Amino acid sequence: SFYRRDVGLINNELGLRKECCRLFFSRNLVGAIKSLMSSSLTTLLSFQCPISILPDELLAMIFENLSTRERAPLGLVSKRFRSVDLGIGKREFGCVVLGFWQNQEKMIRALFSSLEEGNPKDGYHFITSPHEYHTDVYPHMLKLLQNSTTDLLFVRVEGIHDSGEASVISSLFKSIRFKNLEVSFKGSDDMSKFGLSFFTSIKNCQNRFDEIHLFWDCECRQNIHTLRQAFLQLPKT
Amino acid sequence: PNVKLVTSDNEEFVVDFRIAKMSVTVSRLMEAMNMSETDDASLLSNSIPLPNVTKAVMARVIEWCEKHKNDEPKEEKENDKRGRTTHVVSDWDKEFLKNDEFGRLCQLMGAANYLEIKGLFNDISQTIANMIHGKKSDEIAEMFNIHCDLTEAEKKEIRKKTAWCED
Repeated sequence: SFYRRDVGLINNELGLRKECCRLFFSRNLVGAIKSLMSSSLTTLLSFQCPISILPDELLAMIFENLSTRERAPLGLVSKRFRSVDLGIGKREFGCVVLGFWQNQEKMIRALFSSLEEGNPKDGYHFITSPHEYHTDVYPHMLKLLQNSTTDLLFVRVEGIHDSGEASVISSLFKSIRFKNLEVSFKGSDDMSKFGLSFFTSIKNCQNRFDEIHLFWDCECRQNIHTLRQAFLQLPKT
Repeated sequence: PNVKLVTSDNEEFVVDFRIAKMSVTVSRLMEAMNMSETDDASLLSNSIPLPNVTKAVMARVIEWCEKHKNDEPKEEKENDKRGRTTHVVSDWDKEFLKNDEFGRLCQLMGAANYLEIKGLFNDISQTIANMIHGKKSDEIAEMFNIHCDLTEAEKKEIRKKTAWCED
């Protein structure tokens, strides 16, 4: 695929030069100069920045040789580097703390407590409120967590009962691999639909668990049997 | 037995059958053209066109293949504690790739990808990754001569998001 692009570049280059000659002999000097400048610019760009001729797939393969920490500066090099790096996923976290809250004040308190509990050097802390789920925060998180691994996944959900949001949040866990899971559902509302969607996502991501801690401190008016079934279908620790 | 390989600039390289077989692409083409090790006539009468590889790059590829033609097929080891595959570049390969300027390294990587020579591809990929290792974003941009097209506001936002893994 690289050479297809490279040959394309050369063909384009040859085409521009042929065009330049044609215009020169037909006495269109302005056109010939423009064509020649464009041709030289193409050559100049590939010589000055050789990595630009590598397609994204090959660039991603280079980045995959680096650890999560080594990949951190890539996002600040250029938009292309950032997009390629984000597209890879496959990050390694010590601890991922995700909190979903309706109350802003509680959200901030949770952020601080999670920072104290986890090691911020190894962890990733993401606390959000419901109104953010339709913004670019979730697609970004999805990319960041795809095919990633963590020792501990710590999920706190409070007061969320919207099924649309539940499925968006649950999709975050579809491809993350973890050994220890700690999940806490809290609130005065019925969160059974959310719980069901969450456990289904966790079940499908084929993790091998060391430990699971489940804290359920909320209503569960419907789907109780289905919810229990979904929980029991999680892989054994 | 020897195999004839023809590059994009019409240069013919005559290489040992074992070397030709190191490339999955060449191997497939030989199979498609009914060229076999035991059939000398088929090898003499046919040549493999490689329109995506230039003479200069092909010479380097063959040099690498000559050195590695007797290597045992090796499995990539999962050295990383989290299962990430890591590739160790041998001293000979380090020396071999050391003198290539970065532009040539990129061309060589493209050729290894096109010819499907996994060992060479992994060596170059790891070599470029080693060049990035331990460098800050501005040092990486300078090394690869990349113009940063991110605004200050975007950089600030990214720094905030990646603060957890910065020293």
